[in-house]
Amino acid sequence: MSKNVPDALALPQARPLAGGLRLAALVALLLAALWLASSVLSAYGATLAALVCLNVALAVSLQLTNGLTGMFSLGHPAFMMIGAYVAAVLGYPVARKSTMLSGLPEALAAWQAPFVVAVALGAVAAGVAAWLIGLVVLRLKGHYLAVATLGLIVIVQGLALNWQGITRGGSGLSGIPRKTDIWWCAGLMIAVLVIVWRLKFSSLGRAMMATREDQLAAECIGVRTARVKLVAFVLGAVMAGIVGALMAHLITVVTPRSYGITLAFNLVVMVVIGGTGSITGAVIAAVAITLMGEGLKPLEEGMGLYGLSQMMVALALVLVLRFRPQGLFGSGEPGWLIRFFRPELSR
Amino acid sequence: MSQYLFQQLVNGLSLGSLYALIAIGFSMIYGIVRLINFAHGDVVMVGAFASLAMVQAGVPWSMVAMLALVIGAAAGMTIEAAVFRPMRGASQVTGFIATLAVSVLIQNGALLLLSGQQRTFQFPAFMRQRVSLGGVSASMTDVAIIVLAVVLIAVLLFVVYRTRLGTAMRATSENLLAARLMGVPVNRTILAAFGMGSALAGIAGLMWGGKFGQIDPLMGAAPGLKAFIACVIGGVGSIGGALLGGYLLGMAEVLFVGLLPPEYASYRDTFVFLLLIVILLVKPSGLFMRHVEERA
Amino acid sequence: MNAPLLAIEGLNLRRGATHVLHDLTLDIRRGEIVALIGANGAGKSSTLQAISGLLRPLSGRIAFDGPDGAIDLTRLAPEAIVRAGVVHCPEGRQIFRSLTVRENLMMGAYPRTDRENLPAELDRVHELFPILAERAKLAAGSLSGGEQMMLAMGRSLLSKPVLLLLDEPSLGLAPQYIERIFDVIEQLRSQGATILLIEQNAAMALEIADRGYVLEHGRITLTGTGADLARNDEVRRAYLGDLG
Repeated sequence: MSKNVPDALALPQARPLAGGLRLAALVALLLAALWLASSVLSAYGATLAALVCLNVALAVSLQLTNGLTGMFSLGHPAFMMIGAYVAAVLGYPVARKSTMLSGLPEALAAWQAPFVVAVALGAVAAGVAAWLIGLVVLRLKGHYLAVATLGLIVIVQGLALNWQGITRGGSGLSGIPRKTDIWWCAGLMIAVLVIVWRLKFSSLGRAMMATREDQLAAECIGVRTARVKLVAFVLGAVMAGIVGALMAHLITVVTPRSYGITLAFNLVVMVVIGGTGSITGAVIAAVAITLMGEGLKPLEEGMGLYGLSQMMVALALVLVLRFRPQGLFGSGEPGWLIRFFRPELSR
Repeated sequence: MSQYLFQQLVNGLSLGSLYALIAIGFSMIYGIVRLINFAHGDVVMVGAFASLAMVQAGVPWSMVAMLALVIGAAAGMTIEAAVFRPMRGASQVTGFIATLAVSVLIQNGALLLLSGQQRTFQFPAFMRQRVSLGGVSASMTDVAIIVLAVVLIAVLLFVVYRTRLGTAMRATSENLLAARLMGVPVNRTILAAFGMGSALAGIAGLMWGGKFGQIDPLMGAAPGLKAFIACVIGGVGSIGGALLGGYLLGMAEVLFVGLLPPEYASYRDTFVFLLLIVILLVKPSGLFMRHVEERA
Repeated sequence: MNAPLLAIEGLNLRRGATHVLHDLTLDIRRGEIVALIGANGAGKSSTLQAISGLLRPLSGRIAFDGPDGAIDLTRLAPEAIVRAGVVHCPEGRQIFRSLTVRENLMMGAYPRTDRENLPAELDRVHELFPILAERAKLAAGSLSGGEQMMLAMGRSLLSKPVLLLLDEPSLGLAPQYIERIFDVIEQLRSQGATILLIEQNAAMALEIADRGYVLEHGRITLTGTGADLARNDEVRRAYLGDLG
């Protein structure tokens, strides 16, 4: 087998028990590292680490829709917004609901959902929205899908801005209880990584990649491409919804403006720079871009150079598109990673 | 006609004129390189800020208008030569991502240089007067926008449909390979299309500033998206379609705001984008085009 | 008149991952019709595209001894090659469907500087193809396939070719149009034009060609006068449908 193993070439063989064990070991190791970090890190460091985890989860979930299945969707921020608002409104303290959220129906106004329930319902809401929208919008291809999903952001933003009684409009919903910590974010990141990785090397993953490479050919060999696309779209949206819900309970504020076109752009940058379809690439790009943004913040705020980090992200993208359009890792994963997690493939 | 209706009509026409000017350039660029140029709206912003700087430097208004055209053209041609030309032949989606990147780059560059603060942009006093016409009146600014747009569009249509360069542009946008075989210098022709389209965006920036009175580095996002929607309404890549789509979108927006109860007025953009998605799905070739291009 | 107008030497060409032309060498003398025949995918269209500058060869020379002196076409951009007098009438006609018939013809004259001669030449093209005068103001897309081929040829003629490259002029046309097109090709030769012709219809091509080349898998395997090739057994079996 070549060094850089291309997408899921080999047939599934015996149960990948060894791979599963190694994965479990790695997760345990990560958790231990996190536990250490959280006891050492300052509050700022812990929040930053949590943000990195959430951004990794976002980039990898977008890799599912855009990278593996080849749909160019910009709609992730819309689903994050849905997840964030639903979870935040449901989990809002009852005492403040009556003054802040005048538009809520009585049943909801009198009930504060437990954190987990609020997040789960946020995810469900994002998934249902994606399913309904995907049914119609996924017929569009290429940059038309991109613009339609961009429109989705504007539409959801418009609702959030104007539905004063429930979202508090442009000033945003603040005072959300801080229920998320680095553990939640790391857990979500690991879950998303495991799910997307397993999916990529499953038959559904192969169907997704077949749809990406050549929709007509995929249909000819019996892939129900419309369904495969919808599944990828909804699954990505659910993950985005959970991230949105966790983020709301991490930074304790939701504003419509923070889930806009810029965020969509940054997520696409992570996917494209990492390599369209490469999970490893998305992880590295997400970590690098998040840390760069944070690293430049003192410079931006101290010297009034607002926009500097965003410019650098855009410039990096232009350079990658120009000189390495396949991204860092192309569509594959590094060979050693595959050998590590899928030992049955490399013999 | 009542003053109210007349006012709505003038409003719709002047907003539509701006959309049409921007959409035509957008459409020319899409037509010739099949690129949804997300940065087109940011050329509007460049035109607006350049105009403001010239006014503050004491340049007379007529010169400002001419130079807004030139600066818009220069901005568009720079983008094409520096970013899009080296990527020619990449997939449409890659091109689209590149235009997004250019847009982010311009917006944040402007943010860096000019700060996010809103600037007041004021036309000279005579432009802010009202002109009366048999019992109804309209602002001079709106009238000037409507008239100037008609003149510019007429000039553009003349160039595109009646000159050798325009014929070469249309030939190149239909069949780039065949145009090369006819000896058309394709890159220069594409550059000219970017120049002409972006010149209109540049002067639209001047008028946009004058109409709304305020400009900021992120102001280009809305006109850029609206121009795209206008193109989709009329059929992407067709100049006539962009023209009709622009006026139609302007009128529809004004009617939406004017006719519905005020609490719905702020849903204007939501409405516009719903319209976009519906048209993309139902009539992807645009409302006025018979011949269908594949949306792929 | 003995120096070749166009001489290709040792041309190698790659298209994506495939090496499509191997050490291709051929020449065309002034006033000749040269036919290039071969199966689908043998490299005929690639040869023309290399001559007109659409494809860049790996190695080799394409020397053209035109009105501006001897030049190597491999170094020029397509638009410069047209200006030098090598005009490529592409496969599938490639007319501009949304432009009028007249505008299509004027696109042929696009790079020319001697615009005072155009009206007379336009008349000449209209004489060759009267239908183009009748339909001058209509969109070219409304023409029939045969009329579109006439338009494509008329457009190429207005580029004032010193050497005309014709790629599959008979493809997909009704028989009466094919005859008309071949009549015009012969007429052009009698007026001194030089033509490199690619044809699926090898019989007709060899009939009017002075000389021909057979291209197989990117290599020239046979050459000779049109009549010689038409009599050659291998050619008869492979390209002329002779089962005997």
